[in-house]
Amino acid sequence: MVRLNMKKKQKGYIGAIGDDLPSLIPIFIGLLIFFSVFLSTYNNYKTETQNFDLHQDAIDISMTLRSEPVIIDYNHFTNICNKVNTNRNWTAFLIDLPQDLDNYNEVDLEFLLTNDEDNTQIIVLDENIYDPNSEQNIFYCPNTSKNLDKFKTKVKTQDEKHKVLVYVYPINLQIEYHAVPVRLYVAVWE
Amino acid sequence: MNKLKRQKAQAAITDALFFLTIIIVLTVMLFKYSASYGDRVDLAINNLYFKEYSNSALKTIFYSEIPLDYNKNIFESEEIDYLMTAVKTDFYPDKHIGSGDLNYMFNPIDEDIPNPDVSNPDDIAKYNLFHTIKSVMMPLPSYDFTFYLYNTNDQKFEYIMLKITDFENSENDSNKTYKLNDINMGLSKYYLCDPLNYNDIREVISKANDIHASSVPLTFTAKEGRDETELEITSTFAIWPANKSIAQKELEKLNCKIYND
Repeated sequence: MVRLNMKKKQKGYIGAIGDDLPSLIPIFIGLLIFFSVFLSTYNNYKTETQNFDLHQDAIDISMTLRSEPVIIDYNHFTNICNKVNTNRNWTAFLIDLPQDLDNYNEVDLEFLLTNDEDNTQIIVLDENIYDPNSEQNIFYCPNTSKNLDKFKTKVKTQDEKHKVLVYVYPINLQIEYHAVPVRLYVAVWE
Repeated sequence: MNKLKRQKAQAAITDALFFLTIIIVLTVMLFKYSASYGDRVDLAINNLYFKEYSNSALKTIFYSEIPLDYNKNIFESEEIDYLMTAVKTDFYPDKHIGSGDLNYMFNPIDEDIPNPDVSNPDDIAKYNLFHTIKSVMMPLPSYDFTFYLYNTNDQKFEYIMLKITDFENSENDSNKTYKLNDINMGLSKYYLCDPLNYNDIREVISKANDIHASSVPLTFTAKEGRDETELEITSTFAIWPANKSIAQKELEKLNCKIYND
């Protein structure tokens, strides 16, 4: 009879660890939730920080390129480009900024790709002002054919995560003896 | 004592539930931080870029050159000058930019031979300032802006230009000369204004969100009798994303006249 009572008291008892088993379930769930959110936050933080760094570098590059209020000529533009010190892939070019709204073309990456297989034909200044056959009609830098090819390839292959970042600014370009506003495009990518 | 011993498992599960609660609170905080971090980074990037853009626009306006004769093409013009020098020269004799009211502008290059009824050579600087500002903001069609020259000595505006995107009348006016902004489907309208005081413009502009502004102090010289006085003029360029917060009727307060040539 005494034995029977002892057994009754030990009902459900399955040892020291077995007794704490139900309490381990919330602990494991808690740890799982915490580490999943922590990892996702860390990844988000890393992506956003990289994104911010890319933008920051693009702004730094464009600040260097805009350090002089007027670009006097092609050599001056090249010299300013040489001052850019970065490990990023980048390119910069000038396009006209007409005062007449009717002659204004929105130039974005889509325009560069859909309108021209060879971007150099888009990245030109007004043919009425500059000799269209002159190499100095095309203001882009770093002035290497490889760089422009890399830019074109990157534009075509960019995806959501690895975008080509393009900033545009107004700047003055001295053409002959006149300083006129033009658009400075700065493209940066990973 | 025995009773407590028997309830050991219940105490353990209560501790675990407390632990889970703490974890959930921490997780929610972490998640909130993660979600808002992207917004904060975007905001910081936008601030950096648009601040730089407005700086660059102001610099471009100051260093642009304009024709001083009636020729529309600067490259065929025989006489040119820096835009701001032309504005200062215009200001010098009568402490006033242009020939008419602050919100009025002749078209100095309307015809080959200027017609005094429609064109006035005194407005060359004002006209070119208007069109240069319009031009430097063309790469950002979805942004509205204001540019003004404020005389801090006399507490009055010497020049004030506004671009406001009109979302209200876009269908009625789309067949007119206003340029339809493809990005936000509004009509870009450009104004010259003559506000009574600084508070009026501040009241209207403050309705826009995310304003990025850049200011440069300038010194203008004006002739007063036989003497010359130096005046402090603040040049300010402010941009903001076009939205419906500034209604067309608000512009009546500022005595604005539209110029969409």
